[in-house]
Amino acid sequence: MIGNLKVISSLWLFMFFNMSFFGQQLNEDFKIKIQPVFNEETLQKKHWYISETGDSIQFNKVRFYITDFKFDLAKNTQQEIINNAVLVDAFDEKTLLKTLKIPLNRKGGGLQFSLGISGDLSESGALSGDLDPTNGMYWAWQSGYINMKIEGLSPSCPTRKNKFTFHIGGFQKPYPTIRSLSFPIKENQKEITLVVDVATFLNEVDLKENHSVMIPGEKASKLADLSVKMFDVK
Amino acid sequence: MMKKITCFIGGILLLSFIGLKVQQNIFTYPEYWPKPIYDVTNNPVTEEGFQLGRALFYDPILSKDNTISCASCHLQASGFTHIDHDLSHGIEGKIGTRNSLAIMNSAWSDSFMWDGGINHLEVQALAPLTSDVEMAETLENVVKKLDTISFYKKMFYKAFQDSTITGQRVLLGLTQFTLMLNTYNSKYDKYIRKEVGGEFTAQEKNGLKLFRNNCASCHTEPLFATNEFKNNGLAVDTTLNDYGRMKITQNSKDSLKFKVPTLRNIQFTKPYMHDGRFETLQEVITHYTNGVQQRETLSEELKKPILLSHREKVNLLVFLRTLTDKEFLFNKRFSFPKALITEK
Repeated sequence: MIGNLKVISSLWLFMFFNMSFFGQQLNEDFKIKIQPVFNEETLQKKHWYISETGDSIQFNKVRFYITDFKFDLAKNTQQEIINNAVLVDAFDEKTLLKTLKIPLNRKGGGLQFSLGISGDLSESGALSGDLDPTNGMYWAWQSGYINMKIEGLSPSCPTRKNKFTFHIGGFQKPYPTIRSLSFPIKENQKEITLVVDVATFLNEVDLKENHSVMIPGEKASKLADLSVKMFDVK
Repeated sequence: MMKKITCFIGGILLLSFIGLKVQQNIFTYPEYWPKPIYDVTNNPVTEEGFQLGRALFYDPILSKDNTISCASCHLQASGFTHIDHDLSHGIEGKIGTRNSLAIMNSAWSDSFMWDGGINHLEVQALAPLTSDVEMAETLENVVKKLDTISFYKKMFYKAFQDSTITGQRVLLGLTQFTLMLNTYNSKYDKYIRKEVGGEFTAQEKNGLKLFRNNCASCHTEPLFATNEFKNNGLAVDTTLNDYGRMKITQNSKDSLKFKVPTLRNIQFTKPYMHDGRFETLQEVITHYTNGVQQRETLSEELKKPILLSHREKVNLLVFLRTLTDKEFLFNKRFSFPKALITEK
């Protein structure tokens, strides 16, 4: 009970918002399927791919947070599905399907969410579940979440063992790295497939010059701009 | 006459209120202190949570090779810092780059470490735990190790009514112990509260006056710290090239700025400064009177020289010793828990 207060209060809020929010009943399932790919191919660990720039590339880690889902409702209001921070691991099947409880009377329109963790959550101390620092997505020396990790190797990288390491994070101005995404959905649509094409990211990074970003700052912010281009719906 | 009696009764009432403490579960602090920055309602400190945190704090299991505990660099008798080491060391004798900070009255800090890189008390322990030159461990592995020990399963159950060990709970437990490391019973505190044992000598009174005139703008009472970062005029140690806060903000205006540490128990927290360059308080005072380096980011408070005679320096030193709180430094509740040997 004691240390769980945060969890309990979060759950309480979650239940409260699930039951009612401006009179909306959150009782319909909406599935978000995440499909990591490299161009048209399903993304596999330690499998060789070739980028548009001719680099041979392998991936060891592709992980990212998606948060703050919002659905458009009738009367031009929005339903925010709170307390949903989802850690997606491209190589962990069970993280590739997320079911949200959403309002029945939503209208067609948009689904919005954020790529990354908000500043508020980044300043909230020790959190649980997908936000537990044991997930390895938290910077210890400078508090804050790593919104996205893309790691692998390429002979193009002039680094030890040809590794590239992109840890995109940081929430403070002038270089916050959280980004918003928005996709249209139909009125009766009950699922969405989110295609995450890592090739889009690697095609625009010169691995000879840019292969290691592991701190917040301008470089991380530019990579965050690039990272949103990976996302599309099917 | 009536007026005098009213004043007297009013004074007595005021004094009795001054002695009162604010109590939130077992977390307490003097009523006249500012409200803590850490919100203890989110992580109420209980005896069980405190004891869990205490065991974790003293257990080397938190380090990669099970040799270094938090207490290795944060010894109680020296105000929970690493006495006699300018730079703290970690596993395999690896040397860090900064002097360990004293741990006390942490609930009143809004950031942690010399550069303020940590924004919340609950995640502070992650930094030493994962640093290659300190404990070199991962929180994930700490959870795995603790999960195999029934002593800890029981302690987590007592603290959280659930024996599941998570990273969050490890951090909340450590936070509860840290939150209890509060010092407010020094001679100075008793002087302020007009309690027995708080009678200041003329020298101490003079030292307090000098302190208030020359030092208190940064080391502000009652915490003797501010949540600010200052360039206090130290020359750059070229073996370290540590520019402090600038590493975090990436702003040149923060070059050479470091956290203003508390001066409580300063008599025992040597060596001093972020790189532990001064062994004695005399050297520290001499730095402020004679050694301040003029640089662009130098603290405004130090741009005008501090002038102190030899006698005044002695008085200031004598006052600084009144900040020693032996009830805190030797409180057995904060010392190594025997249960780690007898029950683990």
